[in-house]
Amino acid sequence: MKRRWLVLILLLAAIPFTVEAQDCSGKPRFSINAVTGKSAVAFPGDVPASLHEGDKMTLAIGGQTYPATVHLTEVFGVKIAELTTDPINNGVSSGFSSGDITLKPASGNVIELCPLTPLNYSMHAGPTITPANDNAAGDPTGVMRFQYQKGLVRSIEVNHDPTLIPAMRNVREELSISIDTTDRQTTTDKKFVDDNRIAGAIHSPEYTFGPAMTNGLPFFNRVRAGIEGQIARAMHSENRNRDFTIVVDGWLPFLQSINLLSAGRTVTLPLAFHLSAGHRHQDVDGNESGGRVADASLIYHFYVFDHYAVDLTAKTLLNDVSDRPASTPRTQHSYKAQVSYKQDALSKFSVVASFENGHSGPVFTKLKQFFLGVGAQQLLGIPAGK
Amino acid sequence: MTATMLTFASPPQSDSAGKVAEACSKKGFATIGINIQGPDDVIDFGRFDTQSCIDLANAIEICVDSKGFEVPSLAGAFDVMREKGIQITFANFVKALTSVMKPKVP
Repeated sequence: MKRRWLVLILLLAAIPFTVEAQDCSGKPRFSINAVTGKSAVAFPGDVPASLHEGDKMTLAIGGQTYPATVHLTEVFGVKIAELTTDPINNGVSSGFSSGDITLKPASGNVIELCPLTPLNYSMHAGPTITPANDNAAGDPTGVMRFQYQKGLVRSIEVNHDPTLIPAMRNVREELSISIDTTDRQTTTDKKFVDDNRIAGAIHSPEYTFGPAMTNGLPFFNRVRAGIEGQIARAMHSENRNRDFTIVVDGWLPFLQSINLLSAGRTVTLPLAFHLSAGHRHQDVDGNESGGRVADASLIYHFYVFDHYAVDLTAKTLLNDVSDRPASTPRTQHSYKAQVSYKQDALSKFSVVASFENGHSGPVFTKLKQFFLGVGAQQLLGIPAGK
Repeated sequence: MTATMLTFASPPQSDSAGKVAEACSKKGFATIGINIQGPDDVIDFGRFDTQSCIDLANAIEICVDSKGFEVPSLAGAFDVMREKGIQITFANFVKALTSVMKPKVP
């Protein structure tokens, strides 16, 4: 059995690895200027006390390090540290994973950075063999857990026009393999970890195209297509599943955010769309099931009475998998309207109401009632509020 | 003629930077599908997504570079503005951009 694993691992080691999308909330953001190649760190709050103007530090990206000189400044009210370094090599950086960018001061704590600029890297973790945790209620005696990960993320420039933004020039590839399994002692025990996956994705550059609308913007904005796939398989049984999905998303600028009954004009992203369609196949204990899955969603924002923002989301889900529960319909629709309020022109919006239903009618009725109430308040001279 | 040439040879830096900042800001917002109509338009960053912040930043960086200026990397600042739900008028956006623009060092 162990020999079979080793052979499989060696075969799979040639296939690289997938990354989760970064969530940089609350973290310092690292980004690189699209032209100059100079980097900067933007802080969501104050600059850490260990960072001072002119400090010499070390920027570490994966296995590569760069001596950096810090220049503290403020951009759009956000505190940033501009870093003067040697040119950053965005070739595939070995040993780099999503959390692996740091700024090391001469003294004090290392500052972990969250990368916004897509960086290329390969990642390799393991193989590691550890005694398995016995909280699975099986007999842990002699049981070993084997973990291994390998991955590659790579941007390939397919359009060399320097006037285009990088997202319009590059194809992005993500490939990964992850093995997490246990050398179980009995074939009947299903409680030990046995989660092994190969996943890959390729995303096209963003394209803006189509006839110009009355506002001068092309019909389609930053449309991107991608193919995503994943195969998961247990090593100790025949259980497996496969998912393949085609994804297309982008924006439609002909429908800009509108302002109803407002003196001012607030703008944000126009109508957004997301489409995905694919095939799912599952084999659990010899019971095979599968079928088509698809979803389509539209997101739109508009503003009312200068103080309110409405976020509308319409989603349709198709689930044609053969073994879906009787209570799950083949097609599901959902509509959601979220209303947010701000005190004055430049203050932050806060959510004050949310309406959700499987049909658009009840959602729009609730929304209409909400704003009739707000309108009546205004006519009566009652200050706008929650 | 001489006056014209002198004006051309040593243009008023801030005015030129301001015009470039305005043109490049408009172009940047157009890149992400937003039509700016005037200086009083309020831009609601709270409804942006991270990729749009990066695309906006990159579009402005490329534009100002083509006009002989440079700016620090802007993507991080825009993404922080998104996270904080910042709203800013187009006029103030242009002022803020102008303040961080520097002539490109050859």
